[in-house]
Amino acid sequence: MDADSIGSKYLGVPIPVYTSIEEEYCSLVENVAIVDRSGVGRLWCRGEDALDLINRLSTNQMIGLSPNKGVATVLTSNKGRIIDVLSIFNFDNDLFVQASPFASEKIVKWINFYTIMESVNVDDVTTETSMMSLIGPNSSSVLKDLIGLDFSLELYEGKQISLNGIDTIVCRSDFAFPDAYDFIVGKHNLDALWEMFRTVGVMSVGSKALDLLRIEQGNPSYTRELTDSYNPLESGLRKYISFNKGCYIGQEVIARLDAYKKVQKYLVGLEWESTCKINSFTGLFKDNDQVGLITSWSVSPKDKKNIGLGYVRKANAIAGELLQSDNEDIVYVKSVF
Amino acid sequence: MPVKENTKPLTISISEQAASHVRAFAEQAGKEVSNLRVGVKGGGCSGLTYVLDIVEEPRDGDKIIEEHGLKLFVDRNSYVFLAGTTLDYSGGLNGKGFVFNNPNAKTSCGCGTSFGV
Repeated sequence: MDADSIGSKYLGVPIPVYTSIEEEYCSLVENVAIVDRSGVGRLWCRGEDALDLINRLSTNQMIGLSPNKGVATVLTSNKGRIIDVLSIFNFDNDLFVQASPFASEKIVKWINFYTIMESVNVDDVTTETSMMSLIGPNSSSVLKDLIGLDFSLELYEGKQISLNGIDTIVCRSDFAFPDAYDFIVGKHNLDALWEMFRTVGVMSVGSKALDLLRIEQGNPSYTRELTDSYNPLESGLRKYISFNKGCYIGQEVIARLDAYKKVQKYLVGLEWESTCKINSFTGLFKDNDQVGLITSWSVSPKDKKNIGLGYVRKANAIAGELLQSDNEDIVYVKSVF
Repeated sequence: MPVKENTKPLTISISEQAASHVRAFAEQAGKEVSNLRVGVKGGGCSGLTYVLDIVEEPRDGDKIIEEHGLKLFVDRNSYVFLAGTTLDYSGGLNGKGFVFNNPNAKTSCGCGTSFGV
């Protein structure tokens, strides 16, 4: 793939690699890069009851969310299982919602089902807008020195700005921690935005290097780690749960799991030799008992080992634990999220 | 051919005890009327939460039911979740308060304020 390819030409079909995964990964973790993340679901949730409704449907405290501030929260079922993780920003009491890629239709249906007496309107703008993320330790300096942005954003802060004449929402979430900015523009403006960053030397990065960073950072992904088979306490999402906000769907189950220490499994970071043939959704075993499942994996350019995410039973979710794949290859539990 | 009788009443009723408590609450609050607006909103542990308000007038589309000298205004969109419900008042060991005996509720939370369908 040509390194100068413009992201928006391939909308809907994520570009796996522009140059090489190794080179793109280095840009993400050591310098700065742009990524087309237009697959991320984007909704506007408007109406005087919008904040209150989302507060009653999800795990984190939404009440009192200041203008231009954001929060990540988990939509859960009445069994406390994950529907999706949302990043929500308050722009003049209109809520801008980021959902997982390919999840927006489901989220619209979910919110609409629970909109009964409330004044709430949900507008899915995923297909009419585009989203580009600027990721890497030099992202703030690129914005300031090269693009000329004269303000900085804290984590979970957003602004509606005009960027060289393009109406843009810029916001920060912890999808790629700690230095990532998301830019949301009209679909027809992505080329211009993309070129703005390309011309000051920012590298284009494809979905494979981004997924590698996601796995390394322990960020769960929709349909892999974020499914209704798991609850937020198992998925490393405790930081997005308020335990004193009051009732929301699934609250009773989640509070009980936490209070009685009944969480059965945890999301873990895994590592194994690259010579092993292991795929996603391979079982993990200890003494011939299945104790876990690999849900995502990639090859780390640092030491050429394979790294992955998976769920492992509580008793085995310990850094340093050695497990076996169903091919009897050794899989090492590197971290617990 | 035998016709299966639909035994679920498609209305909402209030017990005499609940009606007298509504009047008492309205009086305590210094309100001249004791019309009760009933509805359901999304949220709560089990998914849906009951809403009760003492109001003067119904809103557009509300279904109006009169029983025991009380007017019940039922939110139009909530009606589907409430059809067949009897609103009662409990003063028992589980705490005093209004109780929704709702045949549509398949689950309810520990505190009884929310339900799932």
